Amino acid sequence: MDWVVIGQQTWNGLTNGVAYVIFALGLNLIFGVLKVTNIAHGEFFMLGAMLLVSLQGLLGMNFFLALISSTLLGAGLGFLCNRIAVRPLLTASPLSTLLSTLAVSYILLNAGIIIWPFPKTVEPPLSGTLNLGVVRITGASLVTLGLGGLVIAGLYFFLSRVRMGKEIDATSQHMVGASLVGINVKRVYDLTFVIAGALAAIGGGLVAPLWQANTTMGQYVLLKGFAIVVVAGMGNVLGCLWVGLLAGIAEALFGQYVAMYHKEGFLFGVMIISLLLKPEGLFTKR
Amino acid sequence: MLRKHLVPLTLLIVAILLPFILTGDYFGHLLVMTCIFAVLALGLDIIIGYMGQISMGHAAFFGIGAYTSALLSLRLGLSVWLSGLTAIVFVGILGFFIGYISLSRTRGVPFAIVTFGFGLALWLLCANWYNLTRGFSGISRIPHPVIAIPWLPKIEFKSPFSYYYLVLACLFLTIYLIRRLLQCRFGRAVIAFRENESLASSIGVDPLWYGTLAFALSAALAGLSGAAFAHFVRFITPNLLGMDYVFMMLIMVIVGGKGTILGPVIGAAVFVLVPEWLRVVEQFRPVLLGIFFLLCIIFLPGGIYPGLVALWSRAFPSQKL
Repeated sequence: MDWVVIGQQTWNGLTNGVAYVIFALGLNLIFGVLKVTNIAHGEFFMLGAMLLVSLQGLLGMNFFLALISSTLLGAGLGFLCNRIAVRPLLTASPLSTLLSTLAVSYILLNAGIIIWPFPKTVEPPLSGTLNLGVVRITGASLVTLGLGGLVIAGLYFFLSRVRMGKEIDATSQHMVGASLVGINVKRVYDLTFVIAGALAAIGGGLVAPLWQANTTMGQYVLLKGFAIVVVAGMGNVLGCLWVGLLAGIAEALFGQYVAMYHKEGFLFGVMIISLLLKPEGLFTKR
Repeated sequence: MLRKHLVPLTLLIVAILLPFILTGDYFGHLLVMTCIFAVLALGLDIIIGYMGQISMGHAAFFGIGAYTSALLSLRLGLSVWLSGLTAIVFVGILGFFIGYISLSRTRGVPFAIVTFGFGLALWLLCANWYNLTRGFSGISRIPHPVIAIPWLPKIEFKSPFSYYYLVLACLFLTIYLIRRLLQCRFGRAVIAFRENESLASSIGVDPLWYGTLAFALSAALAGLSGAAFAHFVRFITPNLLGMDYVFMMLIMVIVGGKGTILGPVIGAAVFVLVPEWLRVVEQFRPVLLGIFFLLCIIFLPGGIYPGLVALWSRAFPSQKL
């Protein structure tokens, strides 16, 4: 065991973990509020990254401006997805929205493959590295972690302090009760999808400088997001944070010490075992 | 007696005559693919249509069926019939365990996610176990089935024309099997699983046991379909276990009409034909296919076949199909 490697991998895992958390939070929000499993979420993430690349490359925007624009586009996409594929099917069985969002995901993925046939690399907004003792911290990972932390804190503040956020929370606790006290549930649904779409796009944008941005990244992150949401408990926001960070670190360490190729399989294995032991999620109280 | 068997008999005769009407290797290929995917869709429909659950891990069973049969016949030199049978049994057993584990704790959306997780774990295993599967290089030159009985002419199932009759036999066997099973205790237990699980278990039907058996059967049919695919196309890659096939199988069952016999068959035919018609738009094909699927889910939630039946009974109210 080498402490430098462990420290480095923990840092790398933590940066990835923050992106997973942001992604899983949106997924979990949609599940908690609408009881819908949004398969298209991974493609929102992918489009967030790819749009950022294109906005940077074609329009010459700087990283932060491009990130904000792609986030807004992601929010719009979430809104459209809700109106087209989810709202007409809300009264049908929950499995039909699973299928319709699967169709949306397939459309977006293949559109993405047409538009961006090749992987892209993104210039990190902060170049240079910081040597903290023995662990190397790149500027890119610092930006991801910092901005990601801000986004998570902001979301937490929004859901617990701002009226609109509280309406979302209320609806996720009890839809009928929420509508009885005068909350416009349909508007809350729209808002939830807008926020979730924006979160996914931010997540994609934040990891774009760390990973290579390509069109298959959405599928990978979707499954990790599912694993995190399922382990934490569907509809549980705070559980998502701990499980997501832990998943990122565990994955990095597993990749380093056990088998690089099987680190994704490892996460799914943990998810399956956790689901079988505690189907309602680790952080859900009975 | 005659009336009861009229529709299946007509369909059988039409199916047998079809290669003489649609001649040529191109149509032959499409017909074979339709039959292979129809078996797959019928298998998945046991879970979606009769059990009322969604399995998103079935592409793994399809792919593992293909790999098992291909590797056994290629590496061990087994006859294709034996390797195919082994693949079906192996995938059935695998399906039994995965089905038992998933059904013992989850239903509905978590069930879909767990089966998805299993499917992806198997997909990753298949893609990364290079020594066995040769990863994304795929396995090629898989042998085709041959009937070689001494003193009789050797029959090679190589051309689409001959292979069609082989997979058609598989398809009709599958349909026969599913129809018979639905009429006996097993089928009623599976449908009870969908309708009211707690009521079923309260009168002594063990939902977990019957559900697991149904899942295993469904997986075995996917294995059969995969084996038939491998020995016809003769080149397989880990993509068979991937997301694309998960999506395709769901399209076939949902668009065709879940919970019916002819629905998944129609779904398979639509699924084979529509991409062919969309060839003109080449790279936009998957996008249009996705839009087609989305429109079907929103506007035709029951599927094409029930829609056709409704149209028929409106046009001829006195005639029952």
